[in-house]
Amino acid sequence: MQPPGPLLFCWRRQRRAAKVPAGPLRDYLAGKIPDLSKDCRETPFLAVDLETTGLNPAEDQILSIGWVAMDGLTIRLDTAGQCWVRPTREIPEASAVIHQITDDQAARGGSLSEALGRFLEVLEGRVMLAHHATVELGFLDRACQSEYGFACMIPTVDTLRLAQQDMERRQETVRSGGLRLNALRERYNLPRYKGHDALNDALAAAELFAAQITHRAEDKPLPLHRVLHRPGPLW
Amino acid sequence: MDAELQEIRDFLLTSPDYAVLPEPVLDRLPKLLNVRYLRRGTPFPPEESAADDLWLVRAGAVDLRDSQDELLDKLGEGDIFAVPEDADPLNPVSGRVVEDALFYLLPGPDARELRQQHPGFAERFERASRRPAEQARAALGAGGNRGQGVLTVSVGELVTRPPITITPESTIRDAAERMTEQEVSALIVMSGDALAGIVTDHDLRKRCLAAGRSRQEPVGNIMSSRLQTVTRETPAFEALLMMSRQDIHHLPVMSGQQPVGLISTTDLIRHQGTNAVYLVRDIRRCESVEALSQVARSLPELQIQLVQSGATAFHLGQAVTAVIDALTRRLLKLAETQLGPPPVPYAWLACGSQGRREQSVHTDQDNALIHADSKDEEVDAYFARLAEFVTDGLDACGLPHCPGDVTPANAHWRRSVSGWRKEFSRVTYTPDTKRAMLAAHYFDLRVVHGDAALFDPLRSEALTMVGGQPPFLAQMARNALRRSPPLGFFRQLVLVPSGEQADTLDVKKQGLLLISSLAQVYAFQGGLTGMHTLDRLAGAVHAGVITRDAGENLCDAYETLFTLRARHQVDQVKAGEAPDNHIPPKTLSALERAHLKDAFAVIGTMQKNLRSRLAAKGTL
Repeated sequence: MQPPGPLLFCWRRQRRAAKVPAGPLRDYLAGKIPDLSKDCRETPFLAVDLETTGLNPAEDQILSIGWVAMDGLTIRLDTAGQCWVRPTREIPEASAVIHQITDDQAARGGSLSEALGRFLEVLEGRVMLAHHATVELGFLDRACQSEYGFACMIPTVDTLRLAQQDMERRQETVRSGGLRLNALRERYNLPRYKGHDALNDALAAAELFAAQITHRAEDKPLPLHRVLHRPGPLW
Repeated sequence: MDAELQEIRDFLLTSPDYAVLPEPVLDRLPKLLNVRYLRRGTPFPPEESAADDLWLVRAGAVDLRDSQDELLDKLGEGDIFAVPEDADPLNPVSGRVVEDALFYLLPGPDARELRQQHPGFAERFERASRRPAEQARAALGAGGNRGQGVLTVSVGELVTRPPITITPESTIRDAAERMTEQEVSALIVMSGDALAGIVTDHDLRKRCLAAGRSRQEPVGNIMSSRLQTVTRETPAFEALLMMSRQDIHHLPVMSGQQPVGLISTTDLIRHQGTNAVYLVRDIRRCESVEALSQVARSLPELQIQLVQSGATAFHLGQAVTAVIDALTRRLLKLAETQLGPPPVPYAWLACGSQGRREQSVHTDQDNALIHADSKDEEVDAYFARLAEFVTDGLDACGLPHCPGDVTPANAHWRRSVSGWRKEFSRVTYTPDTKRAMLAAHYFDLRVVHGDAALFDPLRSEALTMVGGQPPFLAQMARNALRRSPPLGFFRQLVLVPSGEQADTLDVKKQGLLLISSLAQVYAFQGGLTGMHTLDRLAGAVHAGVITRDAGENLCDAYETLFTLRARHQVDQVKAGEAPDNHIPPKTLSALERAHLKDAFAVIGTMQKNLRSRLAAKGTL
């Protein structure tokens, strides 16, 4: 399916805001999205990472949401936040190993609706930024669907897609694992982080994005719509 | 508190500037920071930055330069930069990102608040904001003559006026009047247009008054006419060494055949504030080991003065070696007095860094002895006693016995001429790792005292011989490559992991000696006779063994390591600690660390080159 173009996207978003019952999602959808023709370096972003029990939004659950805001390419750590979600099912062992979250820790988390509420509040007026954003969008849509009855329609940039585009442009072949967050960060001389909680990965993605845009734009303008993942490129 | 931004907090702790803050402050500090990424080539700090913004480099590198584009400082991982309130209009500092960089930025208002609450942090902050400007001023200052150490200037710059001259026919009385009138301690004696000699107040005392000579006699009768001279271009330091070796206090400065000035030890000492000359003279006057050990105590002080006056590695090594040589000679004289004259001619040899004249104050003894062939068994016994006397004496003077037993008290290092000849051919004809190690030592032996004719021909003979010995050269090269500089894959410094020297770098073993070994291999390849590492490198370039760039890079690396070590030792001496070769990189500035890494990288590259040449041909 062809993703909706920006204008259509905005329009559908407004229409949906009218339909959604009062609550965080409605507040979020009613809020403005950043101007798509403005330069990336003047756009507010929110870098996001989700930890989940797996990769399938239909079956797996969100364990935590981490985020940090960027004003243009300046990452503001005062806005860094993370919330944990108490899963309704046991955490599969495999993902517990990756995230180092155990059932016990997860049990201390709050409900999905609390987490989602907080998250949508900070997301308002910002473009979401994630590495391999399809996963984040899938889980968030699914969560909003189950909590509020509607998907959330978040304008998004994807650092993995940007990396792919850069490589295609340079006609580089992508090596296996070459699009991983850490592999890409290394290309831009970014340090390797040890921690892999949602907040750390959100920060890692934010730094990667800053590096990608800095290199791609050099000193020339780079409007937001040129890097957006959703809504997709203009028609 | 949960582990939120723990990673950033941990990084702050590795920065000496942030680490002064108390734990609870550090816990909440990450939340105050902004993260910025600047591409290579971006001006730094970026235009929009405000006064007092504090930048901490998380990754990458920034160069800071003055208005003449001189590099003032290099910021690397963990270094901070405070944006100054107003740029110093006289010394504008401009920065540029030279490696894609990630920064943690503490905004000005927060930085100001932290400074108010934490004086320790304020101090670090002040230093960070002053540093580039100060270095700019220092760089400017170094351009002029004022305040510059005498060791970096030439004699010409110290000559302030033309020499006061007199003819040989003038009376001694005239000379004395002239000296008083002109307020000088020496006159140049000119016979027509030619330099005939000099006469000093010392000559007046010793050769006229004390000798009961008439004041009406001509000056020519008491002048010194066999003269050492220097030119305007002679480095002042060399003049100083010359005077201390010959025990003279004045040197005419010549331009062609014409004297253009006269410099005295006082001139040099006034400018330099060091007592290298007096130290050597005092040593010569000592009549007992006890007295020598007293005098030797000022050796660390000498290094402090030399380092502070800006001596280069070459000069510092020469000066310290000159003093240690003087100590050794004096001890040999004392030994000969006590044990009686030597039964056959001999020479005392210095080895290792003393042999190459590259010594610093932290050193132990490395010596050997050669004596003329003799059938008499008593001969060897005499030199064993002599060796014992001298090495014990040096030990008492603060130069400990050699832990590796490289000492003429050990029969291996005390041989007759034919014994040494045999030893040279043993280690060069059938080389293995151990023999090549010995050979490396043998070829760095230098005659300190005694009959140089015993050893020098032997060395040149051996040097010619090894030129035609590919297996020997290959073994020397392999030995030179046994150790690598402490630089990791990501250009990080690899520190000593544990023990007393944990978290330090041994700049001698892991740096200077690697360069010296390379230089020795080059010297063999090029058949060079020079001994000093810098001489060998220059010679290797000249002989085409290495490229000019490679030679210059290695010389720079050597200079960097030597200077850092000298300064480290000075700090230790000042702090009342025993000087050593172990530098904790934490104590170095960002610029110094960058230079250090560059130096190690150069060594690594040259080792790689040598290794691949060796691998390609199996020999050199």
